Amino acid sequence: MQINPRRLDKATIFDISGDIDLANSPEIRKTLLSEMREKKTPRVIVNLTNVRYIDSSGVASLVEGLKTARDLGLRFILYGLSPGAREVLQLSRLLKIFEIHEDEEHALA
Amino acid sequence: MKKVPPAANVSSSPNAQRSSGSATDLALQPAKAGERVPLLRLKFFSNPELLGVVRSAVCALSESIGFSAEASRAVIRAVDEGLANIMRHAYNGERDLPIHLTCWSVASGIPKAAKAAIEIEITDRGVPIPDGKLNAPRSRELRPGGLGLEWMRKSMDVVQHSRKGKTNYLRMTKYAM
Repeated sequence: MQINPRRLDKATIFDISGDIDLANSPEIRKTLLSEMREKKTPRVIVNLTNVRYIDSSGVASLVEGLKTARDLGLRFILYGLSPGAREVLQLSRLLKIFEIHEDEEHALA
Repeated sequence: MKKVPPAANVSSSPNAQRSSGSATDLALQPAKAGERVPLLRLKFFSNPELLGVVRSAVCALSESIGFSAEASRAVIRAVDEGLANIMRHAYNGERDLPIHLTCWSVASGIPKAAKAAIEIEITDRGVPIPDGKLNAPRSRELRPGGLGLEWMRKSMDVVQHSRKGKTNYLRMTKYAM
């Protein structure tokens, strides 16, 4: 799993690749939260295009990201959800809680 | 000097020898009426880095006996969450304790409409799940945590936890409809 922040003018995009599970979700959480608290970019976007699998600890990290963004007054956006990622958000009744877009263009619009 | 255990020990039953040997082009036959065919036994350690290996093996197996991609995702989700619970809670983050996973293709006692079924048993020797944890309703409040058990129940047709002696048993079954 890799997570790399791309800093744009008014947005930070986190490109994540690989499976998100118990082995690496703490790293996702730490990277998301520290970047948000430090940079406070108005829009925080998570690119999940190259993520096939997310476990419950990964979803918990995204929920923490969303809560932190709300506390800081930032928008927290997901895009590029695989069928598996969409299913777990549906199972957790979180699909309507997150702002979700199909691709980067729409996430930045 | 402390003996270093192997990372994982994989064995399959003679019934699984119908596969070509590659995880990506398995072609197993589902169990015939009345059968419960053992397919795969994995013995590995409670290291989260191994979760991906187990998911790949179980996914290849379930697809090979007739589960759709969506149903296979449900199976590996339940297996992964069951294993993560063991690693985090039963073994409290210790990374070198034993976990056994066994899969059967089952065609006995399943609904008539089911084309196939997979039964999975996972055992560990960790602390038991606290009374009340299994039946605790999940809070509707937006908060991280508490999702794993809910996903397992929603993803599988049967989920049973039990303990015999010092061993925890997690048994799960899913039907391919």
